[in-house]
Amino acid sequence: MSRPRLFSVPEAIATELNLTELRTHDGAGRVLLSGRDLAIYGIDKALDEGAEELSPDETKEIFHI
Amino acid sequence: MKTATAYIINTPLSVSLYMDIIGGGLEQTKNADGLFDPDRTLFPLALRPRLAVKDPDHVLADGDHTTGLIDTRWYIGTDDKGTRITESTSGFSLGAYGELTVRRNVEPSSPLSLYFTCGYIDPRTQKTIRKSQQVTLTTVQNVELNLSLEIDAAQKMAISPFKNQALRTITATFRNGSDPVPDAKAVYSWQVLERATLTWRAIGADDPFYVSGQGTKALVIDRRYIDREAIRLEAHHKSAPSRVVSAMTKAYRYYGQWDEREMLTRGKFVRHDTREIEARAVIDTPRGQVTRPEDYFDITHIFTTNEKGAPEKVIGYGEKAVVGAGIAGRDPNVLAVFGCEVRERTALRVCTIGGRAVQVNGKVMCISIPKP
Repeated sequence: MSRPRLFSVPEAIATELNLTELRTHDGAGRVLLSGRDLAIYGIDKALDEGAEELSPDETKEIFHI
Repeated sequence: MKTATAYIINTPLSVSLYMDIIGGGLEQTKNADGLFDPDRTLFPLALRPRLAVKDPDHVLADGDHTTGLIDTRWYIGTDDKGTRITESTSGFSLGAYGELTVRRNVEPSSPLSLYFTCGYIDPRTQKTIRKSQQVTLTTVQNVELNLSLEIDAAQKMAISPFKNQALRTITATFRNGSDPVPDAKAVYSWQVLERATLTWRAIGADDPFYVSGQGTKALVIDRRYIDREAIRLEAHHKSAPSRVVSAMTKAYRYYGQWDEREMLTRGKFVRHDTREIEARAVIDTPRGQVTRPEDYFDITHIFTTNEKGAPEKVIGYGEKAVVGAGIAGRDPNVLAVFGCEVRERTALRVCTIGGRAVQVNGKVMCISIPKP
């Protein structure tokens, strides 16, 4: 079963998508985006630029949610 | 003094209200595990009003006049009769110029309508122009199911009457793909085949073998009441009631291999002072002798002699029978012969009179009878 995808991305990508104010930050220059957020930008492109896919547990740990 | 009044005529403005949607769309999906995509509590959606003005007289600059918005209000509903959204409304937050941030997920069965209304003062006339717009947030139930169901009972489940434990739990494993379906998402129905009509019906308290577990993944049955029952479990995921999967077992009472023999435990050699002869039925199985055989078998002890045409006489029932030694007689040429007839017994069955269950002190009376 497909689960919603979660990504930790460099802040520059979130800025380009105009999502910096709407999304959670880790305080170290990375932003939590959903797979849908990145669909327009291109997930492969984002991964090439330093985005990382996270598991739900990793997301909780890194972004304290 | 004669006067003349000059009237300023302004051509009406062309005012358009747009709603920019930032950080997602108006539609979410919800999968079979109940997860929303996107989850708006993590990935909120912003609804940002944008006012575009076009002045045919070119007094005002054409373009974005969002910063001129006044009296911006949001309501939950389709008009301004709904519940007004304030800073304290859970799941929403209000920003500048009517921006609304939504941190609330919407259930597929309950689309969420939001109504926005605002004012704009025409700088040329100081008259207020009101505009409004409605948006609806929806969720699509995304059904991705690859369901399978197993029960920890063989297709044919032999139930031994000799087992000490009367209760047997049949446990189901319900999976979607490789993931177990959480109990909260699963619906279970245990059924039994009604042999008279060959139809399945739900197992209930009226079934003597039923102990507990209807509606759950673990059915507890009492072996003592099962002769031959076909038991089926039907299950479905709450998100897809029509996608029913099932598993079945046929439970039947089975004694296995056994053999009986009659032993004379007292009075095998009848002397003048022998008073009694005790005959005992012994049941042997591959696992050894059955203790308390009368608990499982119907046993009849019979006496006869080796004389031709000698009658057979029932001398007792149960594991053992005791008779006076005189039954053997005094003729050394006539041999006393003792035997036993052993029959398996049915499971406990509801005792009925005229089709109605007999009750004793409020409890249904059950009976176990020799098998034909």
